Amino acid sequence: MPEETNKRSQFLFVDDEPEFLAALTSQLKEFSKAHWAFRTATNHSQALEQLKAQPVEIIVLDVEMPVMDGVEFLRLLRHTHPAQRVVMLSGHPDETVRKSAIELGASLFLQKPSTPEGFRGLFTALEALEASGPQSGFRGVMQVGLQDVLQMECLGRKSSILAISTGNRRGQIYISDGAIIHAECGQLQGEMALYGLLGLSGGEFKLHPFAEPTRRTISGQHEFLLMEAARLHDENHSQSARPGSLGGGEQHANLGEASVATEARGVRIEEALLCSSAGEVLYQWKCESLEARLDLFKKLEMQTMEASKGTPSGRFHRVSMDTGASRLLIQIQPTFKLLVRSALPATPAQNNE
Amino acid sequence: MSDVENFLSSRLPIGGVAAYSIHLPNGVLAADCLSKSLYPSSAEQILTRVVQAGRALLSCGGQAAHYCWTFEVHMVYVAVRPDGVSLVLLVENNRSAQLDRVKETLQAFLDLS
Repeated sequence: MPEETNKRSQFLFVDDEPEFLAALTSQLKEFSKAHWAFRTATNHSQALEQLKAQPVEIIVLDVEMPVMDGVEFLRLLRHTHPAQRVVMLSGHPDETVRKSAIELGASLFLQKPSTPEGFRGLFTALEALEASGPQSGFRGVMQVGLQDVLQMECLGRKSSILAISTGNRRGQIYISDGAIIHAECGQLQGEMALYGLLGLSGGEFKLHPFAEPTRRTISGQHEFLLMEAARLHDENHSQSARPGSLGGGEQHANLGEASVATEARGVRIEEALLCSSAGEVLYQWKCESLEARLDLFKKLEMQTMEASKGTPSGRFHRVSMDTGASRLLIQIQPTFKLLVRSALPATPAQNNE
Repeated sequence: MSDVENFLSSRLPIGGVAAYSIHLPNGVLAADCLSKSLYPSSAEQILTRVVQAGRALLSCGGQAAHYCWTFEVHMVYVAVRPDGVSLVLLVENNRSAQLDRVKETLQAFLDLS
């Protein structure tokens, strides 16, 4: 393949038709008055070799190629050369393919030229793109945790919607002026949804422009919320690894594997009560004395407020009591109060007693 | 009770543990604040009041039990033995806290009885 690497701007053309490559480089060399340098490749492996040897400003990529078509090669380039500008050419432009290419970051999606006017049109487009220079900012590929993304959004005091998807599970986290104000995932909303989403082990995310959610369900500082999510995640993993251990008595907002693991371990819910912040009963199950439970909420709120008054410990969130045979969780949030009592399966040690 | 104090001194420091106390059914045996960012009186206040709240509101009926009280900045872990002696650890609510070691210590404390 011809090599011209000492000119100002480098282009790499990738097409499985050598005749087309020859015609293209010939026409563009003429139009650019030999100011552009061209390299060519007839398949993706040759193209990668070329890129390895020397980077180029713009890759012009044919869509219809055997083995690995242009769109798939573009997808690969997004991983190997994320900042690379790519122009796609297609002899049979198709709206679906065009959309895929643009979503994968193609700078342009053009009809493959076959006439002098067509080549001139391509040259004009490439010239404009080349003159615009590389995009501002940085683009890269990095495996990041959702917590990192959220932290960046919050520290930058941004407003956005972080949409998360993994397998058949989808959720959204709403950020307004750097504060996490709402999360939803399936039937869950609020902190439970947030912790569940942040506990997912992998998936995809997209940042969308902010839109006001139907209601705001989260009010805490983002630092605390993220720390809490991380702690729940860590504890969840350590508890899953040690079934039957006392584990410090925390309940988790799991949406995935861990909740299945909990059922498998034979945890049985014996009592549940959900109230509004004003003490209105929203849901109860097997509560023997609602009055006593509501009184417990009230006393607990008062005593924990007293306990933390004048200390830097901050607002009370929840308490759990774990005797090895049973567990009681009481959570007090600005928008709700929750009590769950459950029986734990006997550990081997208890069975032997 | 020196066995309890010896037990604790052999296990501390633990990352994230800002203060501790050992409570008998009728008073406090030992308490110490390990964090410079916390007033000892504040630490003692929250530890003592949390233990009292647990006894008053969430009785474990003479059984060994673990409590975990979660506040915005701190967590208070309590291990109560059947004889009423409690080990209370004030732990920073952040990722640097060595929660596994905290839990091991609480469990080992219960196993002492």
